[in-house]
Amino acid sequence: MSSKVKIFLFSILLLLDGCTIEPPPESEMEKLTHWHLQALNLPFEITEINFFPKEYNRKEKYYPVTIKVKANILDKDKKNIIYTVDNTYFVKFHRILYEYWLAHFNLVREAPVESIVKDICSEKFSVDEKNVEVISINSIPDNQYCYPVEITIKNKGTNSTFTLPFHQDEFGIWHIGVSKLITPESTVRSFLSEVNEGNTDKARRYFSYGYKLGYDELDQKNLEELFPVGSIKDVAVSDVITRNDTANLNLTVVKTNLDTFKTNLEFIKLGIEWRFNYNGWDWKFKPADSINLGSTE
Amino acid sequence: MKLHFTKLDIFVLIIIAFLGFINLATPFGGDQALFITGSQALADGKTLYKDFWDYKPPGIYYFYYIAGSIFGFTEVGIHLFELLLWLSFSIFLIISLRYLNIFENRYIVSLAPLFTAGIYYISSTIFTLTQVEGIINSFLYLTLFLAIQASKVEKRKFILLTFSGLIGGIVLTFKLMFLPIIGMFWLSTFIYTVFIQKQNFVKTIKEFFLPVAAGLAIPLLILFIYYLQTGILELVYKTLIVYPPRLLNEVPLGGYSKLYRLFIWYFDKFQIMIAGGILGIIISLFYKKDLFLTNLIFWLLLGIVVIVLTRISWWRYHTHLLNVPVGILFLVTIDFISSAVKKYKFVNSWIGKLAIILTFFVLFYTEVKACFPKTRYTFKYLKASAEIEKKNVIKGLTDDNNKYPYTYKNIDILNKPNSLPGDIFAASTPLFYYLSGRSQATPLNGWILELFLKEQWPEFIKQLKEKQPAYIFIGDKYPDLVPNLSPETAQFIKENYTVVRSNKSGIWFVNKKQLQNYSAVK
Repeated sequence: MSSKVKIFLFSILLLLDGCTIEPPPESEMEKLTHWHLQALNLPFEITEINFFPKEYNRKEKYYPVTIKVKANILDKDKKNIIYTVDNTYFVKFHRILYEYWLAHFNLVREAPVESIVKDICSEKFSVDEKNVEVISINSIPDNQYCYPVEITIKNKGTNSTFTLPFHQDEFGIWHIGVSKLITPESTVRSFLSEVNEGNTDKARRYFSYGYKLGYDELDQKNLEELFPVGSIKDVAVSDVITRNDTANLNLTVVKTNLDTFKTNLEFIKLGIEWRFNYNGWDWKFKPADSINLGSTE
Repeated sequence: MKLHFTKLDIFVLIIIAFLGFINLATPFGGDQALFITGSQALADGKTLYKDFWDYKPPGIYYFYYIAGSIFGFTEVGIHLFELLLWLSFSIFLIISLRYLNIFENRYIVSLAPLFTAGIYYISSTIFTLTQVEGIINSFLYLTLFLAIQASKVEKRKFILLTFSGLIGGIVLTFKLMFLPIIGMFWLSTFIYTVFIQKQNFVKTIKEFFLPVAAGLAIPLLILFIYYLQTGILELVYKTLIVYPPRLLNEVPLGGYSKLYRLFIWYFDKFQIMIAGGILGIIISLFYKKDLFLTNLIFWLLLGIVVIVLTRISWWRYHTHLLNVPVGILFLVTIDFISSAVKKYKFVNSWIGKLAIILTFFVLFYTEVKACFPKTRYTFKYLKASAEIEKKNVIKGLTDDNNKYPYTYKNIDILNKPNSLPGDIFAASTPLFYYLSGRSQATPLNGWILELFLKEQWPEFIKQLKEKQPAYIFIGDKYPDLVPNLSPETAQFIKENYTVVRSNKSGIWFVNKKQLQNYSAVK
């Protein structure tokens, strides 16, 4: 068809409602934002959420949407607000079919503001916020994940100056120190360390959450059966293959009873963090099947 | 009507037979695999909707059932039956168009099958072949022709209208949404009889609608009694009447961009036919003023309305519904031009005729070109004698819609020496059943999980509990979608099944209980 004919037909059809690919409905975007925040492992309530869809990326087939979300993070009893976040996410929405989508969240990172630095430092050094003086908040160095923040703490007449690394996790919460999840290997080691200490209820934090189903009670039970408290003797990681947003590695865990557990794990990168790519179906931490039913992978 | 065929008629019929032939070995798409799974269930004595459930009305399943029972439940068997239908239609088209006398040039009548059945076959793909919208053309045409005939004759009016109603009833067993099209055929013929032929209104109502209603009622009544006897009338009523409109409200189907892309594709693919068809509409309305042609315009317009209203789908195969009206209206234009230019000597010379043939060849070169790979594939398939060779030929067919390689790659898990026996459930293409030879364990199928209504998910879990499929396959997009649609189902599978293989193609689960029993026996 000649380009003139195409332009003519296109112009006529543009008169119809909704001729370009539509962004995900807001209800779907809100639902997926909820699922993403599930990995917090703490109750939360979204107080404000706004969506800013951009033009559909035809080449890579995703809908880019900026999501601004304000949320209160509560304690386990849902009584007190322990943190308030005001996050901006750049989200890639991939259509599964019809109006069902998968979302890949990326937190838009900015340097911490002075009030946050003061708040966190006063808690860390057990001093009043008035005694925390922020000298400088530096920009983030290349390939680094933390903002170097220079502060002075006034305590009992003495002034101490520190340069502290500030990092923001994927939920917008600021921490002092380097994230434990910045490489696939550190993610798996940190995860197993928690499991070995019996903190399986915290394991949710290590999994990607684009799905409603994910790390659940059944998985927790299996994990506890496989690795009872103190049962992990040694952890070895090999064959780490890292691509842009995904990674694979082979894990070998030697238990105190000298049993060996081996598995291959897949990771997905969310912002600066690497998490287990788990959609709730194929739980990797289970004893090897006693019989082979033809599985090749 | 006399059965006299010209050499051109025979030539065109041979071409149609050839075009059908090169589509015989076309692999099944997901829909066709679902139809063959359902029709095989019928052949096993099971009841549609009760033992095998789908949203589609029963017509397509009975079509596959008859085709499979006669020629075998295989690609060739089903497509051969369809070819016979298209060939019968082509013969009938030539006879009826000659009788209707709407073309000034006899050779145009001969070309009619080429621009209806031929265009269908040339443009058919794995995904679009032997779908309702293609098959229904013959039945719609017959319904229309019989109604038109009835308005033209004095004798046998009752029989013609009864048969028109009967065929119309069969059309409805394929899709209730076609009612406006066949309804318009009858209504326009009735109006023509009363207002143009000046027949008595009341008398015409009796003479016209009574036989139509009687004919229409026959297939519907047979199905009604059958479903009443099998005790599933309520389920069938819900499936065909209640669920479809609910789907539109309850399933997030998305916006109109899909429809837009469908029309862009259709215009792009059939631009010459559409251009000729539009001119044909103008010629029909302002020059020919013929009842038959007017009804073809109704078919075309209402067909577009039906496509737009079928919001759940908006798939390309839906446009096959327009094949016959577009093809004949296109020929109206060719006939008109042909009559206008035939006084010129050049046109009647052999050079002129050659030039016309070449022009057509150039205009439809893309379509003609598409036949070559199909021909090569069909001969390669038919040349392969052993089943394994045929399998390899299909696997080797490069086509995005060819899911055989994907399915074969995955079902190998069912054919190992230590594989568990028993029925399976695949949340994926129903080719898993067709190619593995295993039956679908549950009545609800896994091809359209996204279109389940809320109350169907608990029913599905109930069926899984009851039927205990040995294996469950969650393919492609469904690992992400099932937890989204029904976390309870995902939880049920997770608790009762264990993963035996997981990769980008999907996840295979095996039933934990059966696995334990199997291990104990071993």
